Amino acid sequence: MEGRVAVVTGGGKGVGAGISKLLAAEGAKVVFNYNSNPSLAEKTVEYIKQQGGEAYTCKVDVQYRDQVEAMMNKAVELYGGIDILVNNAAYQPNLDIDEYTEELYDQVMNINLGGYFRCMQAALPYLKQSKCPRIINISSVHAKRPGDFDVCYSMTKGGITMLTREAAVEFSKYGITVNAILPGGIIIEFKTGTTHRFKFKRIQRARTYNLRMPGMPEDVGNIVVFLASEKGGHINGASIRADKGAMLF
Amino acid sequence: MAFKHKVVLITDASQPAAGPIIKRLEKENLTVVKNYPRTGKKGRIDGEENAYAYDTWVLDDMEELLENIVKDIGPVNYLVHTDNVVYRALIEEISEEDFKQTLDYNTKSAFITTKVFAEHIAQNGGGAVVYLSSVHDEKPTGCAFAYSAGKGAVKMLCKEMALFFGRKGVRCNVVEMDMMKGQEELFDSLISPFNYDAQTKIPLRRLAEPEDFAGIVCFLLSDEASFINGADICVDGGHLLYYYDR
Repeated sequence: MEGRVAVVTGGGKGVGAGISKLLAAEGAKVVFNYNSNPSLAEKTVEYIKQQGGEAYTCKVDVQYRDQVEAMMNKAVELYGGIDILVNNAAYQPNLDIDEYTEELYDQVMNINLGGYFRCMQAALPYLKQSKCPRIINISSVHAKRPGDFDVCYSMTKGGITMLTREAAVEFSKYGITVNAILPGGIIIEFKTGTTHRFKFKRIQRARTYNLRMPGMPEDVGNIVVFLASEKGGHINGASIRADKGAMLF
Repeated sequence: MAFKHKVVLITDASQPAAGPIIKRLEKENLTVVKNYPRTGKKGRIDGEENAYAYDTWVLDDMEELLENIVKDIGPVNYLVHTDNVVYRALIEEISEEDFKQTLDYNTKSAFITTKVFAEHIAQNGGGAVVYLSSVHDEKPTGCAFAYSAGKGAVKMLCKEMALFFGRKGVRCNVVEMDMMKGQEELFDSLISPFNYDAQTKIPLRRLAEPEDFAGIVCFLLSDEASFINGADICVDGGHLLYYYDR
């Protein structure tokens, strides 16, 4: 990873921060944006620098092409190119279909699915010049299994599965691999998914190992590091479930 | 087949597969309401029975359509989302506007029609929703990525709605159509051989015809499918047996 450049959207907090920190720990120079929380982003930059890594953060709303392009250009200006794009920034208002307005639907689509598409398109000219180019899309287990807490969030994750597969096919001519990671519950500094409003009666089973334990942002970061490395080069168009087996229940 | 209710809305009657579905449902004595989006018009269509022109991805349009159907015909009991608009473009070359429009036609239309009609169906004794989608909600096209991304989203919409509206007596299912005869150029790809190989790989040794989807849509709406909810049914003659990731 030494000397490679990664752009991580939403890389300053939550799962994104875990990804940024681990990429930096492996020697990558990391550029990430924030939209709503500059202080957490600055903290992540500070942490990476304290550990001897390099990182830069800037305010970018992935809904806007000019801002996305400016971020990619900044990464190139600072570090000379882009080798790894990690699409991670997402918005999850936790609403049912009857609570969603048309405007909010547009916003969630435009951030979660549109943002991933926009960043891919903007990073592509630079990824094409990389010796080991990678795109990693952070999705969710709710790309496959309905979450029952946010209809549009799941819709965008279902869309990301297909965006990932199409990109894997289309960009193979440039040697770019494109994969998705589907995390289950992750412990982060702020609340995301609501708990189920319908309480199912659970039968207590003998538990030898708690498969339902939520993960940490670094658990996702480790998979990103592997996929971004040369060793991950044979994996393309895959959706990798990262939930400790929780979806088997 | 048995149907508890009477009125079914076809959201895009101009689609190739919609015609045979309409015929089949009329044969079952259902009142079929036909909507034609993307005409630039708004309102009832003169000269065609139970036909309207409204844009399916616009909330105001769909609310007006519901109001008109209830006034002219009666409550709606079944919804068939048939909007399938393939826009041929690669990720590298598509414009922001074309990307958004493709998602509006294929995905937002499913969301908005569900938001307006599924709740109405629930309030009128329950019923069913069928999303007539594509095998490209699983399998990349290599020529029309925004279409498959949009259909991937529709598949998750269906699963979420099967939970949300299933509790309210409205079943929601997806039918995944394979490429039809006559669509070879539409799905032609220089990258993926999937559709090119269809002629030789489909075990039934023919491409799909528009008529191939009418039976399953009719069945999923009927009382005979009363315990089928949240299913995605692939109607492809076995084509996707050659594809790994289902």
